[in-house]
Amino acid sequence: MKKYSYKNWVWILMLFLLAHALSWILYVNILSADGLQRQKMVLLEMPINKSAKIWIMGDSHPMLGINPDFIPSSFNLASTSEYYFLTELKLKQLLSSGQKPEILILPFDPHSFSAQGNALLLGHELDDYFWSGILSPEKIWTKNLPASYQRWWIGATFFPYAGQFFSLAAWKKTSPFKLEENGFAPADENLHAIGKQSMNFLAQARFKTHFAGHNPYDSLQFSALESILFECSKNGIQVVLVSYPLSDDYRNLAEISGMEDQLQLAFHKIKNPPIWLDYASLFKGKPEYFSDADHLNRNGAEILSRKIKTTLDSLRKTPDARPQAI
Amino acid sequence: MLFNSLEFPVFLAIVLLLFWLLKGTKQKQLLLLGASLFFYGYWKWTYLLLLLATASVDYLAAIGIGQTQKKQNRLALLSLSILANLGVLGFFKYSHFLGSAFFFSPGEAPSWLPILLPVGISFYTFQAMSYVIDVYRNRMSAEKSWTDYMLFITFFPQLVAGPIERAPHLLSQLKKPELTKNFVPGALLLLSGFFKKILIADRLAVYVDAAYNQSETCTAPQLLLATVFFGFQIYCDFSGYSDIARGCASFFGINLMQNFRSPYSAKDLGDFWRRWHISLSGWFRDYLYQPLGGGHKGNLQMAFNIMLVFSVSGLWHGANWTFLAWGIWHGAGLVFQRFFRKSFQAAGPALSKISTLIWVFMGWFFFRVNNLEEAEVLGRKLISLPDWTLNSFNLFHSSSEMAVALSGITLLMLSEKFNSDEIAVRFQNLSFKKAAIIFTSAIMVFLWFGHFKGGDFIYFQF
Repeated sequence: MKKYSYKNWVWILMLFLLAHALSWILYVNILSADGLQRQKMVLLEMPINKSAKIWIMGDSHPMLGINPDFIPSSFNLASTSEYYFLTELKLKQLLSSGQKPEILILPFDPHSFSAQGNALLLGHELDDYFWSGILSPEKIWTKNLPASYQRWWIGATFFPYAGQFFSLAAWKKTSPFKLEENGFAPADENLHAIGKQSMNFLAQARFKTHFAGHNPYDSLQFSALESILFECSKNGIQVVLVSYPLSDDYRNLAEISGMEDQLQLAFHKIKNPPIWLDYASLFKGKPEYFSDADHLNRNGAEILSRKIKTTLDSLRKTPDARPQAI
Repeated sequence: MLFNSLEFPVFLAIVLLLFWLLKGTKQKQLLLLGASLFFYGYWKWTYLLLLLATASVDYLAAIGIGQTQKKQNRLALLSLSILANLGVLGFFKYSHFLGSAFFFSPGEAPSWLPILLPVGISFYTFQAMSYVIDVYRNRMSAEKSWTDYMLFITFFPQLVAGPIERAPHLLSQLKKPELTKNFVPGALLLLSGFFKKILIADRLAVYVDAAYNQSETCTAPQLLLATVFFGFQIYCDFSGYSDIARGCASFFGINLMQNFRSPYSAKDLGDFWRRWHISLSGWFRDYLYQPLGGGHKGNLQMAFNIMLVFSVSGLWHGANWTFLAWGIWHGAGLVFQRFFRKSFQAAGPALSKISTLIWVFMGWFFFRVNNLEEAEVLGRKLISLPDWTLNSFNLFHSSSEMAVALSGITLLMLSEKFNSDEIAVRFQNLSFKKAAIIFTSAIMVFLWFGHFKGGDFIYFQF
């Protein structure tokens, strides 16, 4: 077996490293550069954000649900599947760079405490390159996270292209979301158009996505929320929790499964509960304001944003008023 | 430890390096034993004690059987060993199932019942039982060395999901483990195993899980395709594991048995079972079917024996009525085929092959479904005509995922036309540059197109 000698194995290794480096460059700098989370990251670094007094953070509910055009001095930093655990990391990163809002708007929905968020991250379904830059091995160690996070970090950092062939297939195709000014990513679909039966199926599918196979009340998410609240209190930032409007079918599922009650319980467990604006049934019987079972479309986002603006204005006038749920 | 975890390559590299450094056979055996215990204990060390305890009972029982000629004593020791193995297996694997069937409602199990099933318990207990039975039948002498015997039971490449080896084949090899002089066949087996697991099985699992976990929303065509995909998923998952096991073992000079031989090209159902999970089928043939009389005591007795063996085989896979249904399905198919053998032969090989494939894939429906109630709902859905609209076949996030899944299956079927040993020889005869480029390209295809979301091997749960 002289042919497979030591020198030849080194040659194979060099060949592999070259292919690996090319793949890495192709994926990070070209294929995923237009990814929504990457775009958000770029926006975070722009000086314009420093003037924003109201930050909207969280997952796709706020990302699609709040249009900052209707809330002066606000900026939408939310990104897909960004659960409390990831928001905490992002917020701390921003605060450490000297930026600070007066008000932070966070989602407070039935799935907000689901372990789905961790599963998505560990399953490399989020933007690995983006999150591995924020969640370092040191943070994983100090937060006492399971070893699976260290494994995730190794894959996310050194092999971000692994399993990402669909980025190749979608290369040059238009992204489903386009960012508008101030970080808003509107959806233009109309749930009403798909028919009642499909609406119900869609709601079940979305509900299962959030909860099937996941712990609906993950302590990691709860402690991340507590940590965000502590960090905000330390920095004099007022936190407002918002329950985003849900379609009738999805809301029914949340009620039947007891997730709505869980949310109430979670709120009462918070040591220093912030303001909670509950808009879950704002669009009862109005599927035309949704893009799918639990996301608003552009029109729905406009109405919700105006409502939030009015409420925030009233809160600013009476800072001591702290209703539990509006 | 999982073969598809990040820890495993590191573990294997360290073991190989130490193995290369050691000179004495005993030292090498001890290293392999230590590594195997670490491999198993890495998951849950307390269950390692259980494994060692049951293995020690078998070791002592076999020595006892070897030292006495009294039939009663031999039988008593054999019974003790079998009771110990089946007792442990029954307690850990079937206590919830039997308890909820006869004594308590599901979800109200007593707290002292085990929650976690020790990984690979069905595999290592069956391997241990075959050893003691072989000693009892005087087919081999009892192993005197505790180290050698423990290594036979715990050898890490095949400990948690087989192949279920026979002592005469494996024990003799483990007495003289030697680092291979040719890593190429083993490396190709590893590549083949990971290709099957990460490129095909885990990708198909996305579709299959989407269909079976969203039974209310998925359509009949989706469910049908998911069932076909599951047939390929489970094959790639399990045969992929076996390939990796054989590849790893070959580095230490150990030749593990082939567990699969292109089962989906079987000419009839009997042939399928000679090609699918060969080590388990062989186990049931030698230690259950033949002692019952096999097919030599008339047709009715044969039918009973087949149904019994396949029912037990179904339950071996899991403590669930669905596995029993799957076993009965295969048993019934085999009995039917035996009774109408002449009609099958007259129909021609093509029809026989197709009907076998249809039977096998229909059987996967029972294997995959979560419970019998769900099987009824989904079964009704499958045969309900109004649902047969083909407009929404895809359950993947994108059509490119479907393209990768189908390409993977096509590649798999094409690759099965070739003999793996021939491929290894051809690979070694290539010029170095060509071999290096093929090897690197294969790894890059694997990295780009693989599905890296940490799916367990399906057979780990058994």
